[in-house]
Amino acid sequence: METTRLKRLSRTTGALAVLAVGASLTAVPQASAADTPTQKQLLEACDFADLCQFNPQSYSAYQGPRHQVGSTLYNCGTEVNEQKIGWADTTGTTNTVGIAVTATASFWKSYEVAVEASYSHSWETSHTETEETTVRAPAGHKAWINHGPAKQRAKGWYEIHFGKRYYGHYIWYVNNFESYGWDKDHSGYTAVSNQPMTQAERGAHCR
Amino acid sequence: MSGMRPRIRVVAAVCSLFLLAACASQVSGNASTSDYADPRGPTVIGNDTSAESRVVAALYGALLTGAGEKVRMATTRYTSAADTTRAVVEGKLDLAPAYESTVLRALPGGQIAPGDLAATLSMALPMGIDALPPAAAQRGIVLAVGRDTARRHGLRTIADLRKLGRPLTLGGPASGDPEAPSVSSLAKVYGVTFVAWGTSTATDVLVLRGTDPLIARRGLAVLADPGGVIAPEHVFPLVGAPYAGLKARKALGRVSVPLTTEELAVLTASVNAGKDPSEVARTWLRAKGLLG
Repeated sequence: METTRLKRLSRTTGALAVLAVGASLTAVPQASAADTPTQKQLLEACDFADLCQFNPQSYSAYQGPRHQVGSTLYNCGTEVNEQKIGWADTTGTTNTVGIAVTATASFWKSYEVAVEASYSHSWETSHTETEETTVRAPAGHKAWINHGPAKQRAKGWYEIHFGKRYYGHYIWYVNNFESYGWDKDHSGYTAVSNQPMTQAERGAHCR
Repeated sequence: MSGMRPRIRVVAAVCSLFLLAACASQVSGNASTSDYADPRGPTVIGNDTSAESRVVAALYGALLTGAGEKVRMATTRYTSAADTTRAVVEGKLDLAPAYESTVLRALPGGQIAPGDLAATLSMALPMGIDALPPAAAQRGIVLAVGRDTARRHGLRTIADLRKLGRPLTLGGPASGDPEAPSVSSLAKVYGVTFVAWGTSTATDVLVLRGTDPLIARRGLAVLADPGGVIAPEHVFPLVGAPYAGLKARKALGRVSVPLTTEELAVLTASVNAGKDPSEVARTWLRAKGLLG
């Protein structure tokens, strides 16, 4: 009887030990996740790394989302109204890591050099288009300007080499990094739209 | 590279066991991900069985050793440059001599940047593999004529052959090579009529590899190809990123300018004559002041 109780106790103890080990194994990966740098940290580390190189893997030009630029022309009269409307539209540079792009950041300089060398497309961190567009609004209508900037995107991977271990390793990669910015080599979309004013708009703009 | 792929497999196994959100960032897709890779040991350098590949691999080994890097020559024999390319991509080798168009044929499917071979190479290679800047030397196909003929008729490019005003026989040791330009492609780009003449060397225009010792032996003049009919094959280091740190890049880059096609032809001829590639490489590097 004593032997059976002892055996049962040792089996229970063994099971508890396994559970304890399982729990501790579950805990370890959560601890290692905190020891991994974020992609943002890795790209910022380019400023002091031995080598920070962007290797492009794809490039494409595309049209950015259309949106209204400039003010709306409300025509409360009985004849067609035509006016030149000046507008400005700023396109910044964004990326999949969400890291701020500045002209002096090392990771960005590496990106610009690689993309310009590879695809012969220069890159600006921010660009403002300034134009004047003739807008025609029929009687009782409002008219406005829609614009979609020409954009470019280049995707690839960073390799970052450190002289001393960074978060435990000499080499880190940031994969699938993609940046989107203004494309000076293509034209954007600009067009004028119009539609009849609503009663509320007449009330607000035609007195 | 040789340390990277096993580590990714371990991470994937851990992720599937514990289903942690942190691990999801390691799964590739469209989201940016990060990963690490450290060199596992000495840089393992491989080559194919050609004399060019053996001596260029030896040059790389000597340069890296001279820069204080540990290297080891691979014992596996690779039949072709395409095989060594795949071996580097798969992590079986860390570094090998590679050739531009050969790599692109071995790794199809990448985006092409017209007129930009460096960009096209970057787009063909997977993450973790670097194509370092090429040397001036090309081992690809060239067209050549006798030096006297070139001087007499002012022949410097393939287009200049039009001055001869007649159909020309085209043949030579590399005429059967898959990379050799066809008679029709040459006619289309340069307006010169050729008649294919097999592998005979008794032809108006010879088709050879740029490193063929026949060029020096016969005093041939190689014709430039401004129309880009012949695929470029500059030799460059194809390397796993963990073995492509700043020191290694500087060391390997030292041969970019001095290693011309003519110099590579001389080195290749020495290896073909039975000399040890390592000895040939070290002697040349010392003569060029590239090795202490």
